[in-house]
Amino acid sequence: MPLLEIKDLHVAYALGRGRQVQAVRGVSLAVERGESVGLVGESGCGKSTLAAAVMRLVPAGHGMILYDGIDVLGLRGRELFGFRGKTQMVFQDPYGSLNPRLSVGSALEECLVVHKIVGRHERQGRVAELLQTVGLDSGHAARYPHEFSGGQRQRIGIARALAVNPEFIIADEPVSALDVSIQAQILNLLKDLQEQKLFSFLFIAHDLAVVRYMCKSVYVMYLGHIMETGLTDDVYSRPAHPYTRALLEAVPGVDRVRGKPRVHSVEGEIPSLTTVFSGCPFHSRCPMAKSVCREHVPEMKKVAAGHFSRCHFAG
Amino acid sequence: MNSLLEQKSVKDVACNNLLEVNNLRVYFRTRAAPIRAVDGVSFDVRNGETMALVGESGCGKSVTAMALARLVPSPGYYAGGSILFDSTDTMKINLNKLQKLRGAEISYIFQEPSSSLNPVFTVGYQVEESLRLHRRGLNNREETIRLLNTVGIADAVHRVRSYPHELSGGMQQRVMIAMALACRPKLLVADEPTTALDVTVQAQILELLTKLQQEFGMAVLLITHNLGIVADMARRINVMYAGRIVESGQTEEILSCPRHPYTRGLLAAVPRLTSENKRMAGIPGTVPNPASLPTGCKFNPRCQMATDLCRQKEPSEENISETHRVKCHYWK
Repeated sequence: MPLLEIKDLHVAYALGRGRQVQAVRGVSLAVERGESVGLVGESGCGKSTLAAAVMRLVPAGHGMILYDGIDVLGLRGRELFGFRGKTQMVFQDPYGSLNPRLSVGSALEECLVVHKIVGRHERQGRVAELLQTVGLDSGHAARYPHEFSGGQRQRIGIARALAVNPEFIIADEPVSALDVSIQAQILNLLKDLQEQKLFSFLFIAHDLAVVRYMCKSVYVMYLGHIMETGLTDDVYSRPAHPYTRALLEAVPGVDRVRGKPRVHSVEGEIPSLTTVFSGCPFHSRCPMAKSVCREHVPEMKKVAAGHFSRCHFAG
Repeated sequence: MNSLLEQKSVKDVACNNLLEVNNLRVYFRTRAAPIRAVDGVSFDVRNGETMALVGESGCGKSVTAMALARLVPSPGYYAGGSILFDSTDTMKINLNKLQKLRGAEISYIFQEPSSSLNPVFTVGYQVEESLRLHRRGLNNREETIRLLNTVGIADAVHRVRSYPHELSGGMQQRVMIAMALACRPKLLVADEPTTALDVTVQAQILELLTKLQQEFGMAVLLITHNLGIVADMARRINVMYAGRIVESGQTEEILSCPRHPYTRGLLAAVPRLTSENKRMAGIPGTVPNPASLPTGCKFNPRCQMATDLCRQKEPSEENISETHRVKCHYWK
């Protein structure tokens, strides 16, 4: 049984006057225990909303989220509190997600107090230990967030997520605000921690190369739908969906030949989630779209063992 | 005869190099010692080529870019060096001439198109503004629509009446490019032009820039931290660190045999699509605060090869080949 299993989840936001944004439209996803799973997509595809729904930060429409066999959407009161002690999040913006008026030590202690992790006398020791785990000095506990650089702040964000000894962490674009040299440090830190502590990981990013580095398997999301999923190696070497091919080819790479034209590039931009469309969500930008794509929503099709694609022409 | 020949060769060089920056220093006044944001930067951009300035945040690449058209705001000031643009020293010309240069000969596009566009005017009005200032006597509305078409904005006839918030990030950046191209500049300075955009849109904008560059024959100074974009676009690269250029050369030279440990670190820190889950090397430590730079080589606290020599003496620039230069004591 997977640690986290999402089945046909829908999330919508109300816009007023009865209008809605369908941010997540029937997503199914599974994260096995100890595994790291990537979720890739462009901005506005619904990936952060999906994360927030799993964490019960936004209400889900219909669908099911099972965590360790327990229905997350049905949790109330103490049970929900217990769930939050097992799952944590690392956010994109380390500037916006730390309270500027709390010293780093108090911010970390707060988690220990709220979730009753260690007794009063051991708290400071535990804070020092957490800071060391993420590569900071234990003396940093007395400092405030503004005294740190972006990379250090992201380390603090990670320490805070680790404070409750979580089984499952969602990292939502944890390195996209950082410089390249710092990004590599943070990715290595997360990777090491994941391997040592054996927590499971849902890693959300728009950078395909980062996901390749971090994750065993990957889900590609577009306009609220999962378009392709499989082992990272399979999806990257044999992408079965035209959107995945376009995404992979759009990545400017050190290994690309300069001036080499892109074969699978797509026109236009991701449509707004408020638009009503029929058929395949990608048909308006797809270079291979046929009339069937405009009329029927494709089902997830198996292209190889463990590799699925939502395309009429896959396989 | 001899002098004639000499004159000709001097002129040839001048034609070849659109922009020559020599030993540029831009400092920022503070209560304590001035902050040396750009400290002795030299490079050139040739007519019609794409040259890249690569570095992480705080290395001084944007200040260098702004300095080209004397746009560095107070408390920044020019502490030395020269900028020759099309054989004129932009440091010495008066404000009147400078205004004619800005936007007409040197244009800029920036990272955040949403904050570069004025939210209370239509995009048509804003594109027209540079035409009104620099190219009088044109039918401005028609020219604007033509420009918006050139940068790939569909339905330009109606889009001229749109406000910036009605356009997506990619479309806003296209409008910025249209504004920058309005006067057919000789040099386009693109400061992180695609950092705020999604990958597919980024690819579109980069393709558009390449296409327009060939059409208009302008030179592009591309400023970015993304080595992938550089590999895709630029013919030559300058790598900046702590206000200095630490390595420069042809793109192929820099990417295939980088000599400076910082360049090597940067390349190793880029996650790649093709690699197996091999561990990335990365660079330890953080970018130094420009207010308190280390002595000697500015990279020495983060460098694994650093010796006492590096801590004491700043390396001077050395030639590896005709095109490839590096500032490191131990490049051999």
